[in-house]
Amino acid sequence: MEWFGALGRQGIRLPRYLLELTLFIVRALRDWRRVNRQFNIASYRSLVAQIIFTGIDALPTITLLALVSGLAISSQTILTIQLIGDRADVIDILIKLVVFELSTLLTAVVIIGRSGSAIAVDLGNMKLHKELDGLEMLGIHLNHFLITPRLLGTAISQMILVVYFSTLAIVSGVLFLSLSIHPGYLQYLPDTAKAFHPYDLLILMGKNLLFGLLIGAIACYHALHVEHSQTEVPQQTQRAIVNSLTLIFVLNALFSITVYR
Amino acid sequence: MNSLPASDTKWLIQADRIRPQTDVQERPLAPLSCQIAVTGITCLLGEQSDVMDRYLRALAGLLPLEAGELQLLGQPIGQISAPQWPGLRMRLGYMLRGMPLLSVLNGLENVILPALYHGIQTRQQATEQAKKLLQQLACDADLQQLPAYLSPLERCQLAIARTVILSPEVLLMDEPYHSLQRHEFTVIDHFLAHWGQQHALIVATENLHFVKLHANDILYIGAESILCFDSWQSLCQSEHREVQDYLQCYHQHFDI
Repeated sequence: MEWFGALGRQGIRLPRYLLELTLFIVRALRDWRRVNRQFNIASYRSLVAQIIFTGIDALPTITLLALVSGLAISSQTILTIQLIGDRADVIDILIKLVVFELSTLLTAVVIIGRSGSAIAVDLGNMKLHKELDGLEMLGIHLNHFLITPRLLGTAISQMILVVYFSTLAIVSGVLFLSLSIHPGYLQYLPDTAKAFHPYDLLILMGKNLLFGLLIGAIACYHALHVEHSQTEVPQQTQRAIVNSLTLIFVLNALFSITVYR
Repeated sequence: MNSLPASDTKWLIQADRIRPQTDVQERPLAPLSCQIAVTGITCLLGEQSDVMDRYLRALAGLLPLEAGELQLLGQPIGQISAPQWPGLRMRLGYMLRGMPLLSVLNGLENVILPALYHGIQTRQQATEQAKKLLQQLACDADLQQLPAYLSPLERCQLAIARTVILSPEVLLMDEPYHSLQRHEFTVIDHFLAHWGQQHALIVATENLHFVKLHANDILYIGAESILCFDSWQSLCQSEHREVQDYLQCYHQHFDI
């Protein structure tokens, strides 16, 4: 019977985790909606700080990754696909591979590594040292001041960084080919821009907004599970990182299967 | 934000035989009755700091009650709705033992945070108010430093200023001297004594010097019962065995 119990507990662990995470996000956004989708000056500064840390401070890393991805993947994709297909096929594959898949996943990995871990450690330590209790005693709503700005900050940053990454990856790949092989490759730039439908841009931004929200939420959710011991901080941080990576890769695959067919 | 009506009662806190909730296996706590006026210093004394903390939390409305009736700022606690609590927290300050500041904000940002969050002052007004309060607290800390780089006394001063910047009507403090050296006590004593002349202050403490010099009321939290005294002299004259033992014990450590 114990074996069945253990099996049952394992079986409901994932659905329970997903349900709790969803409720966590809903509560955070609901508390923000209650105040007419506005932040007071303290919470607004929290949001701006999060966008600066997650979005602007990550620019050097994202730029480097986009440049090398452009050189390695965009240029190789163009060179390979043009052998077996026409220009429209090359552009189609370039958009699907670089814009929708590569940029989303690499940006998410960077944000999980930089910001997800930082949020988990930061909030986890605040919880451990009763700093959060101290704020509540001052009538400060934790969701409104700490959680929602982090969720929105990571969501907005992921969305903008993906657009930046995609653009840079394609431009750097095409520029590399035009400089090293033939200037005619430059024509890929306007052609790719024309082939990119506004609907695709909306889907891309919506998807990344969701992914950013999830990265922030998972980090906050695990950080708030720190209770009494210093050792719980790294434990919850690694859970936040692993769960974020898993969820983002799975959701990205689901998006690819359902939306981009 | 919904707020409670301004309290026109002379009692800010009225507790009638309240008993803070305990775990199932724990012994029920003794009932506490007290009335906290708009000014004055009430001190909680006792052997067990965790039990005193429970009573203090109960008086602040932070801990569910097993029995008794509690009125905060003239309103029964059961009638205070969830949206009213943040407003009530501004009027009824509670400072945790250890007084944790937010580690990611510097000293000044910590102090002005509540005023900015609740929108009661502009940044400039809050900064001026903070500096004034810190002056009253005799705090000469570098306000641009994070709390980790400040001394325990400076952190304590900043934490008090952070709570007082909201101009609470009642301030409840759980052992404000917890992380301080003995010679640093007087710095905090001076401010609290002054503050308690114009507001209500409830302090759970082991600093009997402060109690002796400044307490208007003393609640001795004993193992079996809670004893109320209206002065240090009446506490010292108590024939209750537990009180005598307590004073005897601390007499060896404090020059009283």
